[in-house]
Amino acid sequence: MGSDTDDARKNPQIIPLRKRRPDGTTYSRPEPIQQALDVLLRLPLKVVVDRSRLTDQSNPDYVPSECLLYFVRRSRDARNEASLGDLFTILRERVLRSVRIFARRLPGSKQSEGNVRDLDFRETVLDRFQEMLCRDSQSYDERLEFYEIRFNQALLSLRTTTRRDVQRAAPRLESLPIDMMEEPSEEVQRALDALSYKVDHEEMDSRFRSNLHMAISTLPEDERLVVELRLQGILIDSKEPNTPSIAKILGCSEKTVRNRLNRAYARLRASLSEEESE
Amino acid sequence: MRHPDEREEILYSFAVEERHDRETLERYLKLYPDLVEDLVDLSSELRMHKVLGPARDDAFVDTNRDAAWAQFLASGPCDAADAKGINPFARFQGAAFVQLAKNMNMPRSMLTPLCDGLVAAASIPEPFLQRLAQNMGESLEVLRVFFARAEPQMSSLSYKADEKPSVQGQMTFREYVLATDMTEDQRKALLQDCDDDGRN
Repeated sequence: MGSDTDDARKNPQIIPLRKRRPDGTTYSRPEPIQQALDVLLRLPLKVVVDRSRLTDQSNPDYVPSECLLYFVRRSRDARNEASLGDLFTILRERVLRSVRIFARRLPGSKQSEGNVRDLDFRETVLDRFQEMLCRDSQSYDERLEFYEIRFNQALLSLRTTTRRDVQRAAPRLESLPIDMMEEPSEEVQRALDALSYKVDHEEMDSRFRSNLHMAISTLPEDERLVVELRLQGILIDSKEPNTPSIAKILGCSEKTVRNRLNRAYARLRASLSEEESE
Repeated sequence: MRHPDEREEILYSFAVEERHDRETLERYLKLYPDLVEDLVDLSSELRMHKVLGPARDDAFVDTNRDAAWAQFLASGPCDAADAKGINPFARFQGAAFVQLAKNMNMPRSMLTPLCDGLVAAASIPEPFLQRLAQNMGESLEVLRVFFARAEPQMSSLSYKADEKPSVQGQMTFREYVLATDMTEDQRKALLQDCDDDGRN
């Protein structure tokens, strides 16, 4: 690939992935991506560029980011430099757009958490992606194959590792202390069960859903872990040796897990009450 | 302590799984108990992305675009001068070389003389070059410069050759196709490349 000759357009050959799983099997692109590539490789590069500018994903001509990356990686031909430049720009825009900027507020606080930090984070994610592109240009960075499989999901992984690295460098704001509510742990469990049902319930108010997720993301680490695992439906504890449980995964007692859930639930209620009162 | 590259690889593998249900998370937590915080974090991000949907068009400005583009261009060969020192076949050793020959539907004993500069560069048909560039994930420019280098060299063989080529200066692509042992289908396809090219 690299020029729009009639030959290349008649019989496009999609370069297969080389990345292997730990079990030795080779990754493959999802069928919709393969099909999209098959169509796009038959088109002049300028048409691919025009279609790549579309932002409405329901448009049948929308170019999936997996395909966009395929072209950026493999269109290194001096004759295509202008089109490659356009594709490169669009790809960066998509990476930037994927990094949400949240206006976050800690329970008990009247101030928004640093938007500046969020913007730095966005730039850091983009810088890391850029680093991969450049390294790939020199000697084939296999990590980019993950992005050719499921671009948005791979990008979320990059965001996660970047966020954890950034947080280590600039410690997370600690939640202000709140009044603990004495609740039987069974009630907490029922509340979180309802929460977990509501989290993915389609009728749930989208603003509430967004606020809930943001509130969970601001919990102290130990509380957030137990809430996230609980939301996945993992049991708090289990006597069965082969049944996973939060207690086993985190290497702590059932009592500790319930205490953390109690605290987390109290913070979430406080945080969501504050949002609702505004 | 797990190496950061390995940690990154595991998280990528998890991220591109087809499903992110409890079973998938439990499987990874069991395999990589030291990465519980990272996996739960990532699981949370994936869930938020699924629930909240794609981001709205936030206003942003890609202030570093021009510098990034210049860096990207500078990082890989885009012209002949940069491409001179590159051996595109360096990445294809052993099993990778065997696979490349298979993908090209040609015997390794035909691919090796190409790597070793024993085939006259001007005689290599354009359709063949296009196909080879695609299969190698390489630019045409790099391949053209590589094949056009002056001195033919014997490669250090990292695979078992089907047939040892006889080296007596360069031959044309067509001559190699006619002289090398291969199936009739393979020969026909490669000669078709010559005919389509119209130069040899």
